[in-house]
Amino acid sequence: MTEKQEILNIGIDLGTSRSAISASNGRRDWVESFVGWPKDFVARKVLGKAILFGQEALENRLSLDIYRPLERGVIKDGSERSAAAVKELIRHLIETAKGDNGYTQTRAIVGVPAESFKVNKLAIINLVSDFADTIMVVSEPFSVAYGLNALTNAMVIDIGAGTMDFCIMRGTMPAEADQRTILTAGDHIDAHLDTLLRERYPAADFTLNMVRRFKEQHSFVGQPPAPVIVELPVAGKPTAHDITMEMRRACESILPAMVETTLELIAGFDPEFQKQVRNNIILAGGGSQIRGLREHLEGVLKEYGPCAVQTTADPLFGGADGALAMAVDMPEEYWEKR
Amino acid sequence: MFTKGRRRSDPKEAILRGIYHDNLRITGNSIALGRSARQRLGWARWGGIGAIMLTLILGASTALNPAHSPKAAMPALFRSSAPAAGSDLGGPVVNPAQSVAPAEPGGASLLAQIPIWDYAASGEPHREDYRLLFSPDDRVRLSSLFGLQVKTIVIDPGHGGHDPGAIGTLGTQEKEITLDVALRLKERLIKQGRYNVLLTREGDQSLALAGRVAFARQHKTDLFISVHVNSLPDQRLHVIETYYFGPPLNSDTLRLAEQENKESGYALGEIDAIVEDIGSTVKRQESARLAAAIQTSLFRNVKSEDSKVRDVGIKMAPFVVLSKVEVPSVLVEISCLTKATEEAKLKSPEYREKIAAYMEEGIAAYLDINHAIALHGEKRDD
Repeated sequence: MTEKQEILNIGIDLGTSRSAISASNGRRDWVESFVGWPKDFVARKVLGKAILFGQEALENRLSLDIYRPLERGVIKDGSERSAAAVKELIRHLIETAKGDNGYTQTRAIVGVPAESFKVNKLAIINLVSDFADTIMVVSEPFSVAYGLNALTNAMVIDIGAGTMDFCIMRGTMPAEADQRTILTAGDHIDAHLDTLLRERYPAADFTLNMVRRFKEQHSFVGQPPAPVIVELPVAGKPTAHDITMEMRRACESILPAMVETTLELIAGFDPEFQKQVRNNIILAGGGSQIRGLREHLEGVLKEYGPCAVQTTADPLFGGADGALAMAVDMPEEYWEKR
Repeated sequence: MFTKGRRRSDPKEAILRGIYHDNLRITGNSIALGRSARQRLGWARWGGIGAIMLTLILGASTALNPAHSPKAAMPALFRSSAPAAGSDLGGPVVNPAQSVAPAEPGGASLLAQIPIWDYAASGEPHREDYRLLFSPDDRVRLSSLFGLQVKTIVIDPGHGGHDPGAIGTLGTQEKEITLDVALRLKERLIKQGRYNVLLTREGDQSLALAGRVAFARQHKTDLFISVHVNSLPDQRLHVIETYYFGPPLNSDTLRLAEQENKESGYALGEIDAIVEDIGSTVKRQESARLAAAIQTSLFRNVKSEDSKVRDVGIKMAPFVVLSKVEVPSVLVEISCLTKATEEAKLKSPEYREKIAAYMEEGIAAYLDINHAIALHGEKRDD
């Protein structure tokens, strides 16, 4: 084994909806943040596994005690089962990244929401510590910025399921005042869309999981690229429903807080460099894929002067890749043996 | 595949160092050089306090019968490594004649000999009055009078687990704020290098009030500070108030006590008995002083940021968590989650750090650090 193979650096983006891992051995993987245990012996025998993750868990959810253990980017409150599910999720990701190779040391950097409480960060560190030798946590948008090398006069807006995280970069370690977390993110859109659809189509039968899939396929703000028609069962019969306006209203419900927070952070930046920040805004995370979002933000900010908003090329792995880059760059003396 | 060093550059090194330091803070470690320096300064200051205590002890040793140490009469109040002693330094609170009176044989009535705040004469300390209880210029404190020390401080973050406490309109939960502020306060007090600081809960877990009391007793704490965030029907209000155990002064206080006593783990009959057994006068006196010190610091500092904050003062209330802990104990309502602007501020780590700093300042003032250092001529370093 070469020296490089003896130490495995990994970056983890532990997301409310999806979790991703990038490793210094070149492996990358992601999984929907669902963990399920077979409900009984029969389910265990049929499924042939003691634990299922992601899409596989969702597809077999009727046979499982299924958990989506992260909420607002942190472990759900007060539930030992949630903590156990997060632990399994981390184990699954790290084992996938390691493969069959043995490593003498594993170093992990995990992205957490920008304004996570210290206790949440500690809980994550404790869970990861069973599978990695040394662990650090960083704010999620900061890791994205690091990965993109957007370290000076830039702003990253990481739109996840549980949280929307903002980080403004000044060429140094961002201070607490440079970061914000708001809760109007992907889950907020799902809940809003669910409510709107139930109001408009009371006879239709659907689940929040279906609503989430509709959003992932058809989300948009502003003018609809095309009518959004989905199939919803009515009395057991699949029926086409037009949900264009509901989709728009639900997606646009995150805009006011997003714009307000963006403007607030830019206003707090050195006036001489505010223009540069406005021209270096990066949308990351799954929510950055909402059609028309980039254009909308650009349109609003243009009232304050020239601006440019771009989306990351790889929203799924942006956080994990950035965390990995930090892990690789981290000086040896900063890694402390557990 | 990434290779080490490929991405390194000077600005990144500063950032990576920042991440490293940030993680040290999260895990509760500290940088070696900084810690050593703080320890050296801390011991120097502690030595100053010790010297003052020794002076008090020697000066008063002829006035108090050592065979009847007050410490023996209130073993749970403070744990001390110093011999019992009295003093005749006078001051606004203590009656010097009382303080030097010889103890009665048998020691059973020694508590009655302890100089007390005259509640009957002054009325219960409340609202504006409370500041009279605490003044940095106080020359005599019971803790110094008897040569007693505070070694262990238990901080109790309110609520937790399935009990979120108050919830703001933005979804902020009281249990998150109380735990975060408590962790920050713990870190600050530990940095002083003199106290063993413990939290009743270090994570998001359910803990009955009885469990919190048991924790404090098990660890033989010398001070008990419960941290809460207020929830008021009038959402425009932002008030700061601090409670210590005693009979309620009004119906609002009683209602709040009822709210905070939920899931106490004590039977109703026991709570009645608790109210009857208000505890020693000394405990109440010291609790009131501690409450006044924290309230003074918290309100003064928050007022500088929010001119509309109201000082509701210190109050007595029958909080179970305060009653069963046999040491000076207070419950601090650090802020109001029902006021939207305050909730937004509480979401900021910087603001929570400030709240912890204001509390630390109050606690430090109670512990006479400023006074002791002023007497010893040492300048504070933090």
